[in-house]
Amino acid sequence: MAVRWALSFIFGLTLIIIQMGLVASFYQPFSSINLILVSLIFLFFLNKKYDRLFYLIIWVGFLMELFNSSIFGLYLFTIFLTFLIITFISRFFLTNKTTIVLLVTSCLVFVFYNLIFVLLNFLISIKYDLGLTYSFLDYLRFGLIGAIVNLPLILIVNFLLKKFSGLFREFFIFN
Amino acid sequence: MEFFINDFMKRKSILASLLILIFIIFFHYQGWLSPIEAGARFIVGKSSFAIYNLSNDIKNYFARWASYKNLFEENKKCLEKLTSFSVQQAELSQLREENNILRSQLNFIKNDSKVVLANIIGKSPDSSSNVLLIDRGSEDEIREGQAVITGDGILVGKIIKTESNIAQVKILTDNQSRISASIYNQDKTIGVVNGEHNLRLKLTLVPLTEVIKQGDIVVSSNLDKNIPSGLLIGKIESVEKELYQPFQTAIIKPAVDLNKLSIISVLIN
Repeated sequence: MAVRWALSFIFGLTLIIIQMGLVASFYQPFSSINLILVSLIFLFFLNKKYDRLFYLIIWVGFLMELFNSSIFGLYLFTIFLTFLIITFISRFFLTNKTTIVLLVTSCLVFVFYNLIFVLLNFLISIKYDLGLTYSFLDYLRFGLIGAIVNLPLILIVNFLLKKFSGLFREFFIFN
Repeated sequence: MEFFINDFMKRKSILASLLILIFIIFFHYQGWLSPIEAGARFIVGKSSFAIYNLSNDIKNYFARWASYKNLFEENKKCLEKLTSFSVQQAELSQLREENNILRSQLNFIKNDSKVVLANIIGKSPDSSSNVLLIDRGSEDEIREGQAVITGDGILVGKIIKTESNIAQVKILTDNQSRISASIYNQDKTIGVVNGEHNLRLKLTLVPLTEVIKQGDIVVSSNLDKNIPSGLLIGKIESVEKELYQPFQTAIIKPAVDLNKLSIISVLIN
């Protein structure tokens, strides 16, 4: 158990390091690849005990907060709430583990993540009298670009996971 | 709804993580998490720096390889330019001398800004913003709002957040970036440079009556606090003019590729 916790800890750190050092330095639109969300979607989709995944979400969210310019807690809360909503949707509506469900789940993650972030950010902007310069459309455009860029990536990773399932299953963190 | 709440209450892991989330936010604002945050920033910062530099080197290698094809043509153009620059250089050195004499006569004290060199250790993990992370912070006198430039004096952006040994730089191309600028033309036109889609720069709020054209040089104006005037931003690539709108806009080509930077300087006022 302790090894798995340690692995999750290192996994979270590695995700942030690769996202900051490598993916974010790509040219647009490839810099919109959100390795953190993509990885969490897969872990969420492939693990049976996804409740415990929330500890990893908190850890990754906390690390994201350290390198973001927004008010502390915004990303942490956004990512937590997104996966909380997805948990209940998956539990009651999207119960299969097919590729279509994976795609729908991924779309929902990106929609909720961006929507919650935009709304919270807007509320904070109003608080600091910046509401006038706030552009909903810009943020939603980024959400859309993010979804367009990340969904094919999810499909590719899903294909590879199926091809090499035996190998990857060894590294699942919470199963 | 009650069913959902009951289901939620049964999930102890989720409840526990929600509590942890609340505690993290509370402890952060109390400052109790500072040592952990500093440690995490150090580990992630150092590792990210290594990866960022490596990816930059790879990018630069491929860019150089692609540019070899045009080397002959570029060399020819450079030699032509060099001849004209030599003439200008002679004129400039004469003007500099005159300027020095006039300054000394006016007892003008040259106020050189102090510069802090910093390495870029990565970019913010949030893909909707274009924020660079640098390995210098408030311990090196870096404060919010200060201008960030390249070694050649080209404006890159400004500091938006500082920690003890790390700072965040909002690049000019960031969607939320707004910097007042002026154009080197007859009218010394003033406008605002906005970042657009994290990709390019747009000069806005330029009155229709002003004459701006392709190739005009855009520099920072002295309207922004902490950003000195005259820092190069880029060149005008195209002008968009609609007669029914009060302002014209222009697309600016940045003077430096903002995605390939590895070392920058912060202007300490």
